[in-house]
Amino acid sequence: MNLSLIIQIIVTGLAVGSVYALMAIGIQVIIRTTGIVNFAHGQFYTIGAYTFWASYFLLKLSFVLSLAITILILLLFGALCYLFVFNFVQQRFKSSTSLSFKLLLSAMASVGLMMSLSQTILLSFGSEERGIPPIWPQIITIANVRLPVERLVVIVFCCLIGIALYLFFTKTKLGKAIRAVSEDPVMSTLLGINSTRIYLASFSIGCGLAGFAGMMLAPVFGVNPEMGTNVVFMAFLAMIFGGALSYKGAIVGGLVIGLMLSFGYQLIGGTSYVLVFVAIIVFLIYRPGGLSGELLE
Amino acid sequence: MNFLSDRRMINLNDIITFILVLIFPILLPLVIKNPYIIHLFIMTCIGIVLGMSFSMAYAPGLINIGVAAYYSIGAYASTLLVKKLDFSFWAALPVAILITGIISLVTGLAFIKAGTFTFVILTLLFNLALVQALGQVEVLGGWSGFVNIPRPEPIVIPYYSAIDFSTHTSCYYLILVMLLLIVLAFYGLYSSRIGRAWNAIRQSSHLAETLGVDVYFFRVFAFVVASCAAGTVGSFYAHYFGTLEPVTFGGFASIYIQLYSVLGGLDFPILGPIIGAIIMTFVPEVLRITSEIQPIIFGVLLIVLILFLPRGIIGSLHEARKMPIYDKMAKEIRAWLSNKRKTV
Repeated sequence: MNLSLIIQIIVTGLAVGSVYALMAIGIQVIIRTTGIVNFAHGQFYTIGAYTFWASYFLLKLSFVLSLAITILILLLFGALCYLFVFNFVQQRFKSSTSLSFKLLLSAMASVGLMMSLSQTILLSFGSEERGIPPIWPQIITIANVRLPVERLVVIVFCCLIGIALYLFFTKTKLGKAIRAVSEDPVMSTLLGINSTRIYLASFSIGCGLAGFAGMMLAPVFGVNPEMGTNVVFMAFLAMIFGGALSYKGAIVGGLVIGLMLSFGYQLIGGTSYVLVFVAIIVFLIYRPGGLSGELLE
Repeated sequence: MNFLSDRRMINLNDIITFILVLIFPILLPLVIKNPYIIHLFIMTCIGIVLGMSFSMAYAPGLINIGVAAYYSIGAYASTLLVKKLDFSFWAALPVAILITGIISLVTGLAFIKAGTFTFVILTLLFNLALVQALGQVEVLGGWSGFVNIPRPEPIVIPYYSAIDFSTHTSCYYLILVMLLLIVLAFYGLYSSRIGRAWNAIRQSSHLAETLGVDVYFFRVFAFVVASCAAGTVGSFYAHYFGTLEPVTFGGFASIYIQLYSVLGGLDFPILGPIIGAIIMTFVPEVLRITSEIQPIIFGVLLIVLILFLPRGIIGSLHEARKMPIYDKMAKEIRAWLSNKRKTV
């Protein structure tokens, strides 16, 4: 293995890892504000990829327009899912309901949503693989190292989204309100924050992030109905590895898992998927709270 | 009728009702001769045990959406022992249960330590990873799995004849015996000190901990026992069905298992899965729902159940009996009846 190959693997790993990090942040925003473990996140990712495929490849719209359409549709879709499913689930919560029952209700509702959405996607789009012609087919060559531009673009876009999220959470009123609700919902309601609206907003932001992630990887790896399962697996793993209560942990976890996977595929092959899981379980035995060390109870 | 329904002490009434109810499944093959319907009953029995496994993990407040993983470990362990090491089924079954127990102990120790919230996610991830591992590793059968797994060897009874398991009916009796043993064992656990400790942990783990209950130990214990039950029926399933494929044990299978116990009612850890599994096996057959749209319907069913019947069928019936409207209606009906009698 020479240096140029290693650099290529690192670039691929970072590209995939940053997408995992985006997904993990989306899942975490939803968990931390609404308390719902959203297992349907992978299906939102798939829907994002298909929306991008439909608008860019079938309707021949420009890249920026299809990007905007994808994010808008996913934000709307997330809001609808929250309004029609999880809103009702949360209304059943009383202050006396035990945590395990709350967890059971929300996890099962999202699992049911996952099952019906994934089968609907499979039936409506068919099981075959759809390709999107590369948007940036160029390859940069720096001192014998060939780097595909589309992967670099994924990294750049994910960094931009990360900065935008940081600004959103620290500078805007809505972002601050989301953080307040995730800290203490009762107190923030007393201070005049409409918590239902915040739940709605954070759910649709999480789904928008999933859709964006799906759209980023769609031109690189193609689109098929099963694509969400692997990615959401890795995103959950990244979230747990990084610690479920820290966004920085999710980013670090996503990048580490992306790098581990891309080296693993090169060295071992298909079983690296399982080995990464085993490695993280072993890590969790010694450090149950993940990298950040805080348990999510 | 609330025998076996709640976590309480054994009494004579319960035992009599239990034996009376048990007569129906025992006499069933005398009435029904169609092998396909017997097959459905066998799958129902398997579903009941898997549902009870989910309910038992729920007893100390754990939500295990990866029951199918332990089901598959039992099936694969037993198949590998029989096919590669020439074990007989009766020797492979306890070893398979032991292997399931060890794996569930190791995974349970890690998963439960990570917190109840993370536990939910980790069990599903474990299920998905295990299916990948079974498919990728050639020694474990690969994506095509195993075919021609032998049925259990006949039991020879001295001075009488042998019971062989080549027909559906004899397999049905075998799984019925397994189900019965598991039900009795689970019932014993629920009505003992351990069951009361689980109950306390589910209601408030912090309170239970302050009262001296070892939360971590009891959770791991429940998880291991539940997984062993799933492994037992997994081993039976492999030898009964004859073929194994990793796809059978994917994430959807676990979600169906969860539906069995939630549909019946989670507060009824034994009766709930029985009702749920019977409904979930026979209703799709009667309505002729194709396997293509089945996940969509079941997914929506799960959401609807959560929204309108979060306590399940039995739980909702119990609640309805306590409601004032029920009393009022009963009073009116009684009044109406007595009026009618007077006029006549």
